[in-house]
Amino acid sequence: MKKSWLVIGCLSLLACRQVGEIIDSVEAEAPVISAMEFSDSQLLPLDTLLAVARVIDENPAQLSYEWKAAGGSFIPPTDKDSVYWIAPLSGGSYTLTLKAANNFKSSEKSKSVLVVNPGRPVVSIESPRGGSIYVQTEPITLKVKAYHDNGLSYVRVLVNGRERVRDGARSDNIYQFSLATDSLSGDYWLTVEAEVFGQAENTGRDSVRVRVEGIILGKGNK
Amino acid sequence: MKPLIWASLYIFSLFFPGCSDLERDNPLDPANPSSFRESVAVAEAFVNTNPAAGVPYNGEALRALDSLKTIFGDRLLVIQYHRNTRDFTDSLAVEPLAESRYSAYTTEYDDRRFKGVPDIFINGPRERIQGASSAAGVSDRALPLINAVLSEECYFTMEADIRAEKGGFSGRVRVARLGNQSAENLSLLFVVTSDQGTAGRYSVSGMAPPVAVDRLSAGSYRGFDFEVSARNGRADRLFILLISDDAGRIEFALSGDGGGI
Repeated sequence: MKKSWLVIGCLSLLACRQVGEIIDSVEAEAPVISAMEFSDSQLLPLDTLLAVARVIDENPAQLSYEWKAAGGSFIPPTDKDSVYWIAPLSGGSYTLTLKAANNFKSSEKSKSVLVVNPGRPVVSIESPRGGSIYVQTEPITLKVKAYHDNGLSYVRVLVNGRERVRDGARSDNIYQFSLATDSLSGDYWLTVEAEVFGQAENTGRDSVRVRVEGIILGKGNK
Repeated sequence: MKPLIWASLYIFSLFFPGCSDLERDNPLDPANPSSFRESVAVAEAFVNTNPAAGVPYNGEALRALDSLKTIFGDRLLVIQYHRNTRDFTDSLAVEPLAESRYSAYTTEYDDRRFKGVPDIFINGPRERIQGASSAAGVSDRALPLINAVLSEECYFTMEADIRAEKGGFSGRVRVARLGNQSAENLSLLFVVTSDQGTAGRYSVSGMAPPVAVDRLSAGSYRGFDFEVSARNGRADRLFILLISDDAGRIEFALSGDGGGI
């Protein structure tokens, strides 16, 4: 009989301890990531970035850290409040996220860094093909693919070196232009030029040569 | 004497077979089911040579046609229809027949087309060369089209007796169907041209309304009398076009200024 009471007593003590932990976990504060600092605001591909976080917690010794990013790679160790991150080859905006946790709770903070691809934008005239022939008044429809990791500030069409039309960046990277030929007759170079967003002078080009044959319009153009 | 003649005829007949035994292997013989002949290319150019237009497009097209004629000789026939445009009249225009032919070419077979000269068609409406920025450019575009026509076998042939008369031509043309298939919905078009120098060495000066040929069975031929006069200028040359009415294709053509062709 005495033994039974002893067992029940021990179980009760154990239960009290678990309840206490539950109470502690409810009352515990999550770590506070008060700041995240980067060594650079923008990088070139394969450059190394030092990321440092300032985390506040009642028991700093018990904190654990986990770093994440959508691209690039971390240099171990990655379980500290600072980490080295190697930028990927592709340019663009990359977000580094830190998850800091104590025994009971965690919190996250993210910050972005720009990786600048210094390469020229890709510009490709899909149509018309070189050597295409148009009749005066027949519009020339250009279909162009233009892309850069860091986005484009503009895509423009030049006829024999003179700008005729331009467009802002498009998310699908496909651009369509229609050029009137009313005042054209002869051979012309159509050049499409795209400039990288935030990189003035970093442009890519593609050109085709077309011919416009002149006419005297008919009665009522019919 | 008489027996000698009969004997000679008998011996003669032994050496030469009868007409019914003749082999019909001449490719130009309509009775030969494998008959055909070389095609003829026809370039019909619609132009406006009013200098007030102030652009060289039509002159360049005419220069191109002259150089193509030099290249292809008799295998290329060139016809130049002058027409009035929206803003410029042409003193050599022959309306309404030339204009109705141009309307057919620009609307009947493809209603997305619009009018504007120079406008050149090779053997009908399908192959079109509109506009001209240079004579060389027009020639470059026309050459493959003409070569394609000339590389085809032609299953029609025509012969004509042409009499040059004051201000026109008259005569008779025979149209034969070669090969082994009949043909329907054909018509003949008679066009008179005059030499206008740089404004067109084959400028149309007169036309006759189309003549229906209807049906031609394989190996058969039909004859048609014609009379056509120049309405605008001289009558230097006559062109006879055999046209398939279904597609407007020019199947065969003749050109001459008198006598038999």
